[in-house]
Amino acid sequence: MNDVTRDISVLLRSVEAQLNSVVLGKPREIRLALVCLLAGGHLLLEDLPGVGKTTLAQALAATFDLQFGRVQFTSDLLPADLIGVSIFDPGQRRFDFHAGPIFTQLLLADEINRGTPKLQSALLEAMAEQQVTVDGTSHRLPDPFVVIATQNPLEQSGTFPLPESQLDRFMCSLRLGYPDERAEKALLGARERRTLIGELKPLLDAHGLLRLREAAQALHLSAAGIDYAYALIAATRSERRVRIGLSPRAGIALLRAARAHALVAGRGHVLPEDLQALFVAIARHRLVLNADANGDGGSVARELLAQVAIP
Amino acid sequence: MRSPVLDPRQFDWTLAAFTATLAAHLLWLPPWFAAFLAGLLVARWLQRRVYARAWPVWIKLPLVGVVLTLVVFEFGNPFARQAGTAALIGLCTLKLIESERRRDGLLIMTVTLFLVSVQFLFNQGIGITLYMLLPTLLVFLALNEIAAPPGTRGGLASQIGSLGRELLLLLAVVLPLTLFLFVSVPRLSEPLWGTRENQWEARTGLSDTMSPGSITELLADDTPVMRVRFPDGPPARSSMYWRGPVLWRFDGTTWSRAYLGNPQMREGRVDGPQDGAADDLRYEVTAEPSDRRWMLTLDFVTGFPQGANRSLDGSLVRERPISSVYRFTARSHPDAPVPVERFASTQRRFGLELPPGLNPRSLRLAQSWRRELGDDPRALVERALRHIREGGFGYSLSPPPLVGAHRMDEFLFETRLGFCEHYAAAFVVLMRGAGVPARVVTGYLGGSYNRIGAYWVVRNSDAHAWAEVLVDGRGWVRVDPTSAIAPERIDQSGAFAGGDLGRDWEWLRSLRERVDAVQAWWNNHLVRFDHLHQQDFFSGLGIDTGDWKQLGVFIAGGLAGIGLLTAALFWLQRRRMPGDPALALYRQFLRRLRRQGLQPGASEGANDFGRRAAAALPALAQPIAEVVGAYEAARYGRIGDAGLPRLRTALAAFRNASNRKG
Repeated sequence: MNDVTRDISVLLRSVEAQLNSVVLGKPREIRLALVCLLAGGHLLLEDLPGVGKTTLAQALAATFDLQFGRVQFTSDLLPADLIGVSIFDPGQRRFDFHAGPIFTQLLLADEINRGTPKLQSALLEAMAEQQVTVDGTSHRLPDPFVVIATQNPLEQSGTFPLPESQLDRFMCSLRLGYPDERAEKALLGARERRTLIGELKPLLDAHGLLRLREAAQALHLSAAGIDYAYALIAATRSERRVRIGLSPRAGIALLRAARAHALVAGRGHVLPEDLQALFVAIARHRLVLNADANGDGGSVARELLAQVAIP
Repeated sequence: MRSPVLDPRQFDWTLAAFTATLAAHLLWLPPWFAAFLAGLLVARWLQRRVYARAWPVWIKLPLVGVVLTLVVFEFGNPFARQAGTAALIGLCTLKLIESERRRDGLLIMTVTLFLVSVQFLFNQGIGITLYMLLPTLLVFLALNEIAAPPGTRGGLASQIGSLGRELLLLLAVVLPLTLFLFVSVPRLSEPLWGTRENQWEARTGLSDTMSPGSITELLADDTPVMRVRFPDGPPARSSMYWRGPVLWRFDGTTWSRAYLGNPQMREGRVDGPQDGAADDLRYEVTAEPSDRRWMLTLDFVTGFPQGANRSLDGSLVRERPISSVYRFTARSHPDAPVPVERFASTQRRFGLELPPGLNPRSLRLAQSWRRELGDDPRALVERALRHIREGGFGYSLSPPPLVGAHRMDEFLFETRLGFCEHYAAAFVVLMRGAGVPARVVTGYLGGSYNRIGAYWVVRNSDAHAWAEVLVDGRGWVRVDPTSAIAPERIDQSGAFAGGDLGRDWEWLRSLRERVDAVQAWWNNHLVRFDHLHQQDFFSGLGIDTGDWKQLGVFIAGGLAGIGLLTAALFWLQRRRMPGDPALALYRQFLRRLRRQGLQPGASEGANDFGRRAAAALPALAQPIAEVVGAYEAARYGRIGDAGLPRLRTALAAFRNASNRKG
């Protein structure tokens, strides 16, 4: 471990500490969200309303001093409402592009599965390309551009489930779940979250985040680590309950995220433990199970993780 | 803890492996019993697909009774080979019906593997041996399927692929051992089984009676009876009469043996070994298992091995039935009459006996010849043959049936159509009627020459019956009345019996010869590797099998050698496997910790395991952390193999620390 990684590690420790002071009792999930951010991926939060999804997104934005925008997806929201629209300016006699709320560094797309497929695909295209195209003109989105989308797990009326190909655009998916007893009591006794978030000091800026991303991707990944990642991916493809296993893109996402995880852990190289920490978050929303299989992507991924030996 | 549930795919594999094994046993299992079991299996398969619940006890329990009753009803003695195997197959089928857990699957597959080997007690042919590879492979696939954890199972191709590698390794270990044991384990001169059962019905072949139709059944059967080699050249085809049982007694329908030829009768029989005269024809017979005691030889047999004896009526009989491929060398004096060595008057009396009151027209005809020609047997034989030749008789393998009481009359005066069995019988009746002692001999005639293997094959379709008449001063002289009506039956083997396929089918004939040559090779080299061959083999190595010490040293030495070879193979395999020096060192570390009862889980990384180990062994926490750190750096870090020295040092430190502690 050299000095740079040590400094980064110290910095990230304090980032984690700050996030944990706002979102209580979820250190693992916070670390995964942080890893996703550092790996340059987008994050999907699947959970019931009211467990702190928004708080987490806001705390991340405040800590990294990112421009924060939030869009509540509804079935009558149009792509133009999200992306922006060109409006004719009679004075100048030309069309002016009025940027939509998507032009922000950290976008919280709330209840993404309430939006229409058209809206969803507009967002997902923007996530993949990091640019939007309106009337033939491309507009670059800010850098970094991070989407944290939430979706309610229950099949509710008026929802449009995201197709698998679009889910693949999210690097990680997380479930926050209820906090444990101690954390929840602390939460109930403490001050309003919003106030707390307002008081957070930025520990880094957008530029710093981009530097950290570069540092993460420069970490060493040995052939043995790739072997293990491959073994995990291959296991999802031969598992009987799984109809569609992990794609090569998912494999790349796994390795990117593993590097970021190693960075957070303060290591100069990727260990099998890094892959293990991320595998479920990477695989949960990507695995398509057979109709008669019990459980969900997450439980299957956990079982595979326990079975596949480290080569 | 209960064993995990047998899932549908595992069940199907188990069922497939068992069914393939059952199919091999169909060769001997009674068809109705097999059909019953197959019905149960189909019902079980459908039930597993449609209806998830297990079969209730009130169905299963009576089924056990039914199966066991059927076995005892069919085979009698439940401890004999056939009954025991049938019972095992039946119970295994029932086990399959109640199998819901993996443990049951493992049990069934183990028993099935046993059933695969048991099959060789019944049939050791080359075809079935090749077929047995299929159930064996299926059993291994099923075991693989049952044993594999759910996440690691791929499609059939990957299954076979992964199993293939393992099987090759195991074969490499097991084959030398098997070959060595095959060659060196002392053989019994006789198998332990094959004597208790009623085997007279088990295989087709010559029986010791002759009734209408008993030979036709054989003529349609193409299976080889024996293969013969003539090292000094074959005799003329017309003298290849392979002698089987001699039939004396006639009750109007059936011909049967007399106590004169009974091999249990010590007086008059000649026990082997006999050398025969040096200028007698020498030949080597490899007899297929017949479960009978007849050793078919040419007339008149003078040289034969130990364990065989020549009965008073000139047939060679073995002390035990031929229950597996049997090879012997014999000498014969070709075409010589069978001498009347003892009991001349009894033989004469038996040779004249006729069922009273039957076949009056035949007897009148015979007596008229007698009055005409006197008592010269030769003239009478000539007269009878002429009668057959010129009396409007024909040769047919499907003659009209003889149904009345006077069957010989019916044949000689009405139907006049028949084959060897009719002619031999009618001829003997005529001779006896004319006062010439005569008897029927059954056996085989000729054989077909295999150009590939340079031997003669005698098939059931070569079955034949002929006659012998007693000529004073010479003995029993062979007369083949069939030759009077169908000389080609004598000259060309199997001309009428489906054996000969004609010139247009030369390629088929040659294919048949090839197949048979392979079969003969199989019999001579593998199936018939008996104590004699073993002796030859060992004496070739300079070892005296009579000396138990020498043999023991050889076997122990061989086993030790193979053991070392196997160990070396495993060692190499183990050395080769890591492919990664850091991993190899880490495995040493793991072995060390295993002695302390600490073992990583399948997917437990070094980091997690190291922490766990350190918590369990606080005294060694520091060295453990150092080993884990060095291992991770060397295996996963940028430093790579350059980190190995540090890992070695850490490992040594860990060893020292743990030794101190221990």
